[in-house]
Amino acid sequence: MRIDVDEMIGTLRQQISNFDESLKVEEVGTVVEVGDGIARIHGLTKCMSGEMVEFRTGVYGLALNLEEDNVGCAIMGRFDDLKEGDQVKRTGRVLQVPCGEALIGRVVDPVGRPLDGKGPITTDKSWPVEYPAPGISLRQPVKVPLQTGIKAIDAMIPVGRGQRELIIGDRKTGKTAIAIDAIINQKSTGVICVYVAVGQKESTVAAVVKRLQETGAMDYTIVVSAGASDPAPLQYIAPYAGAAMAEYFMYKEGKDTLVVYDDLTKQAAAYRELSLLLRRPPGREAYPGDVFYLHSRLLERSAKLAERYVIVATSKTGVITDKDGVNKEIYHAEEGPKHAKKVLETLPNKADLKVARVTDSGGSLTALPIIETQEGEVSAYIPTNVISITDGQIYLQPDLFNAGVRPAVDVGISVSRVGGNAQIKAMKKVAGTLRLDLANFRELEAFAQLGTELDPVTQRQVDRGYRLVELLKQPQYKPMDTIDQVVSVYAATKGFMDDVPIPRVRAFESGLIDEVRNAHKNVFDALNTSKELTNDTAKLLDAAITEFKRRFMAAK
Amino acid sequence: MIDASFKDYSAITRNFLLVIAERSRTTMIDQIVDAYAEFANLTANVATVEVSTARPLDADERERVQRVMGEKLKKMIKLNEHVNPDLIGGMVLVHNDTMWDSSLRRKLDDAIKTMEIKTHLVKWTE
Repeated sequence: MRIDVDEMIGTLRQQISNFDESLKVEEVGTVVEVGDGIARIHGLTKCMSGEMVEFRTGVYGLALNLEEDNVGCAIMGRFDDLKEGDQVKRTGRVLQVPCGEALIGRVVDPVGRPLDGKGPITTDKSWPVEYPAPGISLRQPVKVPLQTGIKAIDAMIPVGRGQRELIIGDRKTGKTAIAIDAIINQKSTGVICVYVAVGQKESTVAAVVKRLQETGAMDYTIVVSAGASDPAPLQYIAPYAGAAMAEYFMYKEGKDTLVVYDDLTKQAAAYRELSLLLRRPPGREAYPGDVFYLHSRLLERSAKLAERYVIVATSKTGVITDKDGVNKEIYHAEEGPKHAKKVLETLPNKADLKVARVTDSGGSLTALPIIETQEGEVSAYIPTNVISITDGQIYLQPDLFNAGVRPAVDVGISVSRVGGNAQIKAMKKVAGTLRLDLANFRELEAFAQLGTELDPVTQRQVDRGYRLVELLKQPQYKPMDTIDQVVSVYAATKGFMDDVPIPRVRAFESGLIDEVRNAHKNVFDALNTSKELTNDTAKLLDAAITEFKRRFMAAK
Repeated sequence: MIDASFKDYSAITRNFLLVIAERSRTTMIDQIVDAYAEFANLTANVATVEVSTARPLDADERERVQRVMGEKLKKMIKLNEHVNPDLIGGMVLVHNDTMWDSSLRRKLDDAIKTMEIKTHLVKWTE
């Protein structure tokens, strides 16, 4: 541990010189009952809901139940050395977590204490764990894509920055794998990622962290872990803590963030445990009445914040803040620049002024909550709740998983309610028919398996379907570039792969991508810069694919 | 029996005890006494203050605590004294939910806490 001697001496001096004047007035109560992570405290009459209280041992508690003659607290840490009659002090503040750059690359517990053995976290920034969701005027519609690097998702179930997309499925269907791939794919996009592990085995979390480190994803990722052995209160606040750490970057630095809550089923179970111990009345499946609010207030914190604009002097460059506006006005969202320009025209010295975006505005928080179902039961309480809160769901099927279709995304029932707004134009164009082709294929697949004689049109559709399914398979930890995805999906939907033997589809795809990236750099660059598939580019691409295919088929 | 053992008490007290016995609520006597004490203190404008010190208070100190607290709370003060050598020095006063703590123990603990925070360089608490 590094100790700054000068600072130590300074602190000591200060302590000694201020020593005598301190008479501390505190509000205190006494523990009347303690156990199972819950303490009931007599006194503390002025205690606020959600306030932190400090126990004799230095452990903190979270005041959750304010009753007539006692306060019910969740204990955030070890409670085995607390006893009846112990003194409890109010702290007067709500639960906060450290945040900022210092946390990036670290593994912390839900109150921000390091778990990775990399030493203390040095930051003076903090953010409240429970923070209200931004209101309507602070938001703007989701329109920028957040690429997950998974073909099946980016093509058909696109996720936008600021969206909440649920990943739902039975155990062992690859839910976490999708989230981890999405994090890995954020490399060099400037998106800050937070992975919140709730109630998981420590070994699983360690494996995830190792994988993130190997792929270089820890350089922009924070891992918040409340393991299966941690007390229920910590598991309950973990997602909020993760959201708070991301919110700091969204609000204060205008950055795009991605938070994975893995998983909310276990958080709900932890909250149920807590609520029952606090003697709140149980409802359906013994969950308390506010279990919907538990998740809705968490997921509502995801947002695409509106950009803010101010009128500043033309010479002004660098960081621009809300206070820099020459007329003290701030203009919000999409209409902002237009409105500001109008106002600018009315100002006397308009030649020296310009409209500029406030540097820290326009951040976003994308949420990928994960829900585990039992035997595909989506009509259970927690899954239905979270499905109704989120902007769509990625549904994972064990049957598909076992049939080797991985990621096991069931595209038939997976949706993204933000949809095409969060796709680049090229992808929107090529993926349009993909969903339809697959839906047709699913209908016909049953017939095909019966061995019935099919007419040529149907047979073609079935063949196309098999190739699309093959194409959408993707190995784990191998996220794919968007433009590569566009090229491969284009080739498949335009029928270039229809006569490629199914086992060779993936070889064809990777070969084609290499070809386009190297030999047809002009096509790749055209797509990459405009993000659009114009007719000219399409023609060039057609030619490139035809030529590649000729060689590929000849090289059997 | 109650009449016999409580013959020195007033008629009202004796009758009250009889009523309690008759309704078989004798197990609640403790709570009744506590509630009565609280009620009596309120009526008589008396406040109870718990005083903890490292060594027993002398008469002068006791008088000063009573005077200062009396002015503060605008009440007659009844002191419950506790001796707790752990405090090392200074005193701790507790009235209802409020604690006035000037003990050496607390000051040292606070100092240790600040030093711990400084040495860990974790300054995010506020």
